[in-house]
Amino acid sequence: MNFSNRKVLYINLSDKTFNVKTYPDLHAYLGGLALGLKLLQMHADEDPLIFSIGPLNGLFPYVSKTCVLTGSNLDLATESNSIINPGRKGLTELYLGGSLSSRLRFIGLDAVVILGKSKTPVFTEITSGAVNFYDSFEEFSGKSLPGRSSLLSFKEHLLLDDYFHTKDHLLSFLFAKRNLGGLLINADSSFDIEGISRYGKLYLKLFNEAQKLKISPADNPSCVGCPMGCDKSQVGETSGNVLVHSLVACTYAEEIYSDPGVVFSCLNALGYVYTHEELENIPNLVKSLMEDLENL
Amino acid sequence: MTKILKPVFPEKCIGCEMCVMDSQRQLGKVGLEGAFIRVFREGTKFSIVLDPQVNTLDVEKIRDICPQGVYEVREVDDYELLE
Ligand code: SF4
Repeated sequence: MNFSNRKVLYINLSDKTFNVKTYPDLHAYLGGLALGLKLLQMHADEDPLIFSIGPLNGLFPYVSKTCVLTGSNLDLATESNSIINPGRKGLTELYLGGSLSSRLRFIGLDAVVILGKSKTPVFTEITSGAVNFYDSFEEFSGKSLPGRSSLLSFKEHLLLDDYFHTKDHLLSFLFAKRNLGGLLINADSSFDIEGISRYGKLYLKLFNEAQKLKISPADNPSCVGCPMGCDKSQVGETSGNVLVHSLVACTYAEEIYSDPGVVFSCLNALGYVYTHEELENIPNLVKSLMEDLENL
Repeated sequence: MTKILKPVFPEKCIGCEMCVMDSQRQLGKVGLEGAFIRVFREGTKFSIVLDPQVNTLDVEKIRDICPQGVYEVREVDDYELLE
């Protein structure tokens, strides 16, 4: 794993093509919200739908969400009868739980950018080496790797892993408007971490800080990487703490992951090189990207 | 005697995969490839498949990290293991 590059998969639904780009210069954007906003700014005139994760997803407890971003979309707001993001103009910002962030991590991607619109419904499978497009759900759903996949598919609405969804089912509208019938991520990789015992100790330390979470344990389907099974995770989140959402940790774990010292230690244990100043600067970076996007 | 991991209450599983990650960390890695524990999803229900090699790990640690008490650690005679 290269800890300073950001690897982004681009999928164009109009012509059913894909390509992967590696960005050595996006290090400062950490991940999740900050990285997603940067990608949104880079592709502002292409109406992208962006899924982005952070460097701790899949690797530390309670860091279990995926950031979903797209530009402001007033048709969508009217159609879904909701205000998409009252706090952040020019932006649809959602956070989704389930297994998605873990599968993106273990397929080696920091973000997926979906562009264009298919003429007919299309079902898209992402594997570590390819993207496959299918015309029928039957063909597509049979491709799932048991225990290693993440599936976004339509029941009455779009659901992740048959359970998780976004506020007001907004992601359903974002998929439907592109004729995207489903998205499957099949993750099958593992990697070594240098200094695994230091990493393991820090993992357990944070795991044992469950009393800092703003939710209670229950027995609902849980996000991968979170043992709580709480009743809040099904619907995901909207806006919140910038550092937490750039990681992308659960908003209910804000007390743990809004502390730049904790984040610094986690990043350091994995081999990422960030300074305290860089982490403290993330809110400014996000603010200026937001302002930029508002003016576009 | 050998300690073995048994999912005695699989119906309680919530799919958090803490057990999968712990077993992988014990092997010095992170990720899903080659995992000795697989958590399969069937709608909102889960089932667990264990590779017998999981019993070469610290199974008590895996039992203890499960938030739902799905696992039990049993001590068995080596000949029982062969059977
Ligand atoms: S740790 Fe327990 S609840 Fe979580 S996936 Fe494993 S068996 Fe299921």
